[in-house]
Amino acid sequence: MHTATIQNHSSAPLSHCAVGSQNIVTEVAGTSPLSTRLRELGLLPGVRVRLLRAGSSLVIQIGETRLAVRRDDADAIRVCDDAAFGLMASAHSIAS
Amino acid sequence: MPTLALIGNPNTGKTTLFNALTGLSQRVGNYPGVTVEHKVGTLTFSDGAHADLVDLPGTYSLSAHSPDEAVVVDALLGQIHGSAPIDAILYIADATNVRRNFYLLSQLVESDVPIVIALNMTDLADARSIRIDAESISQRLGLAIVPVAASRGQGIDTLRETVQSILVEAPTPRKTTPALPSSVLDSVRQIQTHFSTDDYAVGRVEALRMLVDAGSELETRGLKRVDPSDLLALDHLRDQAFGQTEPAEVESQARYAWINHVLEKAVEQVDDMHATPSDRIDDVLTHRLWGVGFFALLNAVVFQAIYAWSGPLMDAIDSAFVGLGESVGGAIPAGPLQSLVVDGIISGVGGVLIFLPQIAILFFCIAILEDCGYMARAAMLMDRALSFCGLSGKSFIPLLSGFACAIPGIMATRTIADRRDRLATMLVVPLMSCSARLPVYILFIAAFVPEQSWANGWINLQGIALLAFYSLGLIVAIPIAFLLKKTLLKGSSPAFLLELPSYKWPNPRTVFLRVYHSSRDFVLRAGSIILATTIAMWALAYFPRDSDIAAPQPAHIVDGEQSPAELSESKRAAALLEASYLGRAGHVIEPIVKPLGWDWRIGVAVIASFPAREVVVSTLGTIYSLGGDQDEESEALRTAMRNAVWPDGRKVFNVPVALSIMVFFALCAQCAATIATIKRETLSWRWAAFSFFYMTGLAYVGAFCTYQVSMALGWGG
Repeated sequence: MHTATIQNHSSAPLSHCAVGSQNIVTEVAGTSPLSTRLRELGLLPGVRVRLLRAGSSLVIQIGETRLAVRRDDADAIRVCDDAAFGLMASAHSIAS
Repeated sequence: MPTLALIGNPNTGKTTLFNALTGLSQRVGNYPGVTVEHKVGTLTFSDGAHADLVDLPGTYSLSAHSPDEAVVVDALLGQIHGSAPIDAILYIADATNVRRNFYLLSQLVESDVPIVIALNMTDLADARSIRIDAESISQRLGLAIVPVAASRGQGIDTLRETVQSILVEAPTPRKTTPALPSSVLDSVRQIQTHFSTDDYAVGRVEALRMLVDAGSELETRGLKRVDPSDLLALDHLRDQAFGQTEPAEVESQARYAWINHVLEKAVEQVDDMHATPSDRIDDVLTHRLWGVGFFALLNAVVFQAIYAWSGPLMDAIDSAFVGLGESVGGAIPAGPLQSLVVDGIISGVGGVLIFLPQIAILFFCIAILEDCGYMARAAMLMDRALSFCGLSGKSFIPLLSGFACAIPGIMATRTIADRRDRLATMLVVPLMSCSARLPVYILFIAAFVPEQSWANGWINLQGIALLAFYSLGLIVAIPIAFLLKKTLLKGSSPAFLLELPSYKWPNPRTVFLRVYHSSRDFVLRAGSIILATTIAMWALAYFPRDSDIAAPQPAHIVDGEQSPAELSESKRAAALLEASYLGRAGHVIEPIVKPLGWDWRIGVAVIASFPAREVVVSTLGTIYSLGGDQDEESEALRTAMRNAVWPDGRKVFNVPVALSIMVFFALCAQCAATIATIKRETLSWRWAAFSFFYMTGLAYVGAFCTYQVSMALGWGG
């Protein structure tokens, strides 16, 4: 496998997304135990994540797993929408 | 006898499966040196053979973030003192979430231990039209997979047979494991060579954990074994293995790639993340307004249930013990032995058991809410408020449990990963007004708070007073927790991440067993300490015994409804108490408690309540010559208190004194069992002693301010 993050400028923190929306993870930043645990639960670049609740605690869905995360901690998760991901992925494969 | 380990993610129905396989044979102990519970049961096979089944704590990965999770790694590596090595693993996976559940499995297959997979919740998977081709997966893994529905008892027999066959079979080499990058494998091999000694061989699983989990317990142990300065060597190997990429990222990517390969075309489900019934319920229950409203309502219902249902049961237990005391007392001639048995032992045991209904009912409510999945949502809703004090949503259940009894609340902090958060929570749980404070509140409120009501009796002053005292502990706990986190327990707050399992109907057997084990725990652990300290206090109140002591004729003793014989007996009891070590101690501390408005008798009652707070009520009864069987409902005791006067004629009890006593009891640490539990859970006396002193100090200051302020306000009358 390849680089941990897919360089891009059209990604945003998960907390900025609309409730109910589905997005693709571009990066899970950080080395904290939280970031590690998120990755172990399947939150990796290229994976689809859905935002179920906004507020001081977010509820996100990865596959069949639903997690409550504090909004500040969720800033480590960067996502972009399907279209943007498609563009990035092809740009990436052209580049490599 | 072979030992099996039951391993799996949290929320997979592991407890239900464990109960189904072991029934009531389970026994709970402690792992040495940690406070994680060690749960073992006996698995009986169809031919009568047995095996031990150890229920290891649920974990998502071997990269442990809490003491709970660390136990799984240690058990797997056989690094737990006194624990039998694991002969086979029974791995439980949730059929509705196979992908993520296989993450931990992907780590376990890297060891040599035989594994059987129980694919649980197949009934839920069917309901959601999830089709799993267990045969193909089993083929690819080279491991047996048994579909089960533990809550319905389906597949359990097949599982037992499969487990038994694994135990007798010769172990076969692993068919497939995750493909880690070669740089990682190289580093793993080098760690194995470098950190193994003649006595101890580092296996592949341990080496990988040392490589990836920087700063972990395994790393510390490995370094200790060889040479602490080898941390540099370890870091070098990490750079070599991972380069610039985050180790956890590399590991996770490799594992999920393997999982996708193993599950390819074998798991069919609608993958468009559509809203499930659980999600729809959550739209309401996690809603910022409706969700919080529901939560508040639920709390009110639970507390109402506890106090309404426990009343009759408590009365029954009370009369049973009074009766027992009388009949046993009658059979033993008067003297120290009779007193020890009746006033020490029977009264001590009764004092413990009388709280059992309240505790059992609270555990029942908590067990139902946890099993159905709601507790995680409650913890999430409470997280914001709790993080304001420096804690997190995970402290919610321990604090809630503290309203019944601090002991289970303190034990419940084991689920809190962060050491500092856990300690801070343990230190404020005793401030939650537990059941034992209620008799104190009831007695004093009934005696001294006027019976005023408004709005046709819907709102009354006494009820408000009760609510106020209940809230006092909670309100004080907030700045205390905040202060603790800012000063003594300073450190960065770890992140809060909680899985929200799908809602499901609670399983009756799971709930029953939880209530049974928690109640049994309480009676045996708290009970034994309460009994021991009650007997010690009995001795202090009994000796030295001068049987020639005459009853005094002090003017301030008021006659209740006692006969002349009973009255003289009661007066004699009061005099004996005054002459005992306890009574003398009361006189000694009188100067200290005078600023609180107390006299020596109140001091005696407070000291006597160290084994258990509610003892203050019966002690006050004895000391006011009403006999020792007064309870908080006793009109005679209330009257006696209202009429008691100092030698110079001033009333001993007025509103300010009553308030100061209640404030003291709201905040004090008069509970030996709580102190002992803190000692046990922190593995040292330091924090137990700290909690005793800080709470006593807090209670003293609170009582002092209450008395002085209310006197200044003219409430002394």
